[in-house]
Amino acid sequence: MIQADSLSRSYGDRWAIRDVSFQAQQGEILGFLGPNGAGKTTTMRILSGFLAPTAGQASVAGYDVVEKPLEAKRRLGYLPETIPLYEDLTTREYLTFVARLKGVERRKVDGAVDRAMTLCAVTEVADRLVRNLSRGYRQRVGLAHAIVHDPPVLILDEPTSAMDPRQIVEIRNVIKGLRGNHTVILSTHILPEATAVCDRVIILNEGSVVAVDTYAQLAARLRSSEKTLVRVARADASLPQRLSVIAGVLHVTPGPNQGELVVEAVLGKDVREEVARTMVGAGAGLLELRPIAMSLEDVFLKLVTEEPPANTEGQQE
Amino acid sequence: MRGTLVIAGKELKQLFSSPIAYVALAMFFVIAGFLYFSLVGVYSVQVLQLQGAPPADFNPTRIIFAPLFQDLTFVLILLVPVLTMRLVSEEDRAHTMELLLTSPVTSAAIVVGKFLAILLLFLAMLVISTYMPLSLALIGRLDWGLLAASYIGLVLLGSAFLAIGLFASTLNENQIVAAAIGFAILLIFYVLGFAQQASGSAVQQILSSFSVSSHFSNLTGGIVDTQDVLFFLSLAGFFLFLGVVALESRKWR
Repeated sequence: MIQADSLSRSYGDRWAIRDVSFQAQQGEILGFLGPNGAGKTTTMRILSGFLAPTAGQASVAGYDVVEKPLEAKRRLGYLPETIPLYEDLTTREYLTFVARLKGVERRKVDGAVDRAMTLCAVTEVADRLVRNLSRGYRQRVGLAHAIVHDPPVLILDEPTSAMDPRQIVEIRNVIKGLRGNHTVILSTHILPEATAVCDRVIILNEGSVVAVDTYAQLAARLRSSEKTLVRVARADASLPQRLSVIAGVLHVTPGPNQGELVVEAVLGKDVREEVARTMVGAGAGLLELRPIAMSLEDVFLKLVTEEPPANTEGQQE
Repeated sequence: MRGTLVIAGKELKQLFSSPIAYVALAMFFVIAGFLYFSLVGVYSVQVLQLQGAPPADFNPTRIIFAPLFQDLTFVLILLVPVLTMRLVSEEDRAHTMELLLTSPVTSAAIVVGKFLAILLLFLAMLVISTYMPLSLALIGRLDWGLLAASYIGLVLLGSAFLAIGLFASTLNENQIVAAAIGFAILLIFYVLGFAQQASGSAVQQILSSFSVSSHFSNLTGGIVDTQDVLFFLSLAGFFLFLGVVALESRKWR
């Protein structure tokens, strides 16, 4: 549904993105992650037809964004980073204008506007001027404007940045509800959002794709050891010594809280059974034993601070 | 075409929900009204001096309306940049241009839609201004052909001016800067008429063919010449084209 082939874009002699390639399949939610200035917005602007690429090609729903811009734009809903709102129109007037602009037939406009307002929960501010709306409402009106013409492809640049936690959950549910019928690209700074909503993530750094994969696989690939957290009722100084002699254990370090230990073992070796037996044998009062997964934050930081750009991964996708 | 009309409709709604349209209309009618009032005064004095024996070419249309419309050209040079300054620069400031440029409409539809809206406002202004000749027609005889030619001239001149102002608005996201650029371009076309009087015959001909005032004075004199009509239409077309180019070029900047 969305395809980018070696997209590059320069501003003067500075490259904002270089050789960015990826694909998004029908019905998929793809997360765009990356530090500020990584090229997320530039990539989205090229896909939306707002910017032309310096090199490379991109297509939306099978239409090249440079050669057939109108066909591509007709099938696209785009929520830019700064929400494009007309302050002097009411929510309903604004959404009606957008629906007409996006090509919704005149007789279907009212229905489309009502549907978008209900989905994004802005019906109660339908007749208020946009200038008087709170930031959370403005953001939701922005999302409504992107989906008002029910496009098969959605590109959302930080859709939840100004919302409170309850609204974030609601909007995430709206976005998750679009999965299946819509292809969504979602950029976000909030990493748990990517794990909660996205099927796959693309991590961009300094204008290049450093990884494209599901979060679980990224975490698995970047893991260098198996970590297990052990919590006991009666910790004593001999426990680390007892644990470190188990076969496969690399080292034992104190955990974040009182009575906790982190056991690090070689990759692929599950030491939990042996650890449990040792703790019970020592009479330490085993309370909890669980593997520590790598958080997306860890994955992200590891990729953007350690790994060199690896464009080929994007092309393999 | 659909996109053009949708944009024109939105633009009209916004024009009348902001004070700019009202301020501009008020400014135009105060100045035009004052000029009309004083020209009628001048005409009455002349009638008294002639004491019932007027020469053959003495008619109120020529004495009141020809100079009135000439003076209105200058009023429009000041007024048009105020009307057009927000057309594109406001969309840039509010980031709504990103919405228009990522919608399935061409840059030409955006420019023409905005132009149509502001032209409609201008036409409404001209329609209201007909109270001046109509009120005079109640008490005297007017040369309707001359008036019609003058109004055709105003529509053509207004279109060209609005296109220039619209183009200026695509150049800067600050409305004041956009107005200043529009004012400067309009003034250049106006002063070309002054410069031609002080130059040699070859240069004079070139300058005169680009001077707004010399083409307009033909029309207010009652002559609807294809050359003058084409001049204003090409001026409007050329600056609308430049406006489209300015929008298109943004993708590559």
